[in-house]
Amino acid sequence: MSGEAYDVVIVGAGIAGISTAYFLAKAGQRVCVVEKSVIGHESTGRCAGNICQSHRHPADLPIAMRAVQLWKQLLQESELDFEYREQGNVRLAWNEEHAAKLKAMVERERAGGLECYFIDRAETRKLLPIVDGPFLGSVYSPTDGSAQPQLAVLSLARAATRFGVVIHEHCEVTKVRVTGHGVAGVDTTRGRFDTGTVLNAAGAWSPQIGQMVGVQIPAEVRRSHLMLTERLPRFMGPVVSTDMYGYFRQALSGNVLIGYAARPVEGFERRVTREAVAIAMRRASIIVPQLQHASLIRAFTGFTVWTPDLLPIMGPVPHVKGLYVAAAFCGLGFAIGPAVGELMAELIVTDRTTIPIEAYRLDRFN
Amino acid sequence: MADRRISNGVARGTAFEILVDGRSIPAHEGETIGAALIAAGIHGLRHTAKRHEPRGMFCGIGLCYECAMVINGVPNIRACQTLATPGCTVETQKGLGRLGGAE
Repeated sequence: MSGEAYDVVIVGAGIAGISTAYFLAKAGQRVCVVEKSVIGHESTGRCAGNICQSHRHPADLPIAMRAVQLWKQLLQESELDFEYREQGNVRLAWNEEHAAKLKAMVERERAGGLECYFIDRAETRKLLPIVDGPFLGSVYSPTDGSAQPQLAVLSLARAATRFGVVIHEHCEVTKVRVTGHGVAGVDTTRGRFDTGTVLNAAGAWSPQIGQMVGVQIPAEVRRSHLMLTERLPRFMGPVVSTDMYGYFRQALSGNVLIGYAARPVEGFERRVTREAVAIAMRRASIIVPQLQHASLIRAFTGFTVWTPDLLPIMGPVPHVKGLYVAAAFCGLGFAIGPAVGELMAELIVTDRTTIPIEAYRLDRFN
Repeated sequence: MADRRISNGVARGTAFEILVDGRSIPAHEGETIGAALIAAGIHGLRHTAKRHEPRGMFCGIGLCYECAMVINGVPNIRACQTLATPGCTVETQKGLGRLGGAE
């Protein structure tokens, strides 16, 4: 394994790293992914799997829409059903001011080509009879959806290996080698890899990887909670997003996923807090009252990575030839994963991207 | 219905009746619903969601959820962990617990 040479070495086997590997390999590149744990073990495998195009930063919309096209293609090509479904998303509006903001967002997004509507409370309850709480309407985006994230990243990893990608798990990067000419390779706990191109897709550990070559990645790691109820008969169609009361999605198996917003955390503390579970369930009881009678069977945490302007970091690292970053997706990385991969592969191979990613440059923070 | 309780030399709590799918069966203070059901020879407690196959008590200690029944109108209640009370209603649960709980 030592001293193997690749066109590209990718650090991190989450959705961003695996997607990029897939598209690079399809373009004929020799790719190796090094992962400190196992594929999808961190943020990707711990997220709710929501795939939202609506309610993102305006710069993201074309990327999010491209991602939906890719998700559909990937599902068709996959031998494994990773449960990508276009069940729609409903985002509740709490007051007139909030509704006005959402209506403006709907106008902007429709102009960008996204199918979405502002609907009133009665229409919202027709879509979701089980939803209650003090909302006065909602944004309905029917082409939003979800997937099972662990299965999705696994499926994409398998597809990538069929195109020749090599994935090393339990393989932690200890050093990124840079010479006067740029990137020369990475040293890991399982050997040295030589390459002229390294992609830092290490999620919550991307700042650490950056530090190895003196590159500052100004991203804050926060802890998000996700809770799961017992299996229930199907009663929720679209995903329910509430901004303040968490988000809810009934998986294909019948379990309801309940998300609780990210909070700053010391170190990489993974423990589930009683407070988060109690608050999330209390809010769930307001929005979906019937959940009061459901049992919670599991709660877990994952890290999400946030930049000061809530935009991800995608692009080359200035002053270090051959080094790239695709990280800090502010809790919305899974949805756009395949498009991130396609764009990063384009950037690495052709130095251009078909959808602009200037807004995500690392050096915008200087 | 046969009563499978050991009677020789065993003192039990107050006797009363519980309703199981509409039929009365005996129970004693201190018994779980699971125990009362087994004493009455009732082993099929629920049906699975996909293939509607019967299931009964397995671990008996509250971990496996095979004994989940609709008890006093609330689904997914473990019979092996729930004490029998006079007049409580117990129903074979068919598939996933319906939402809404006690009605």
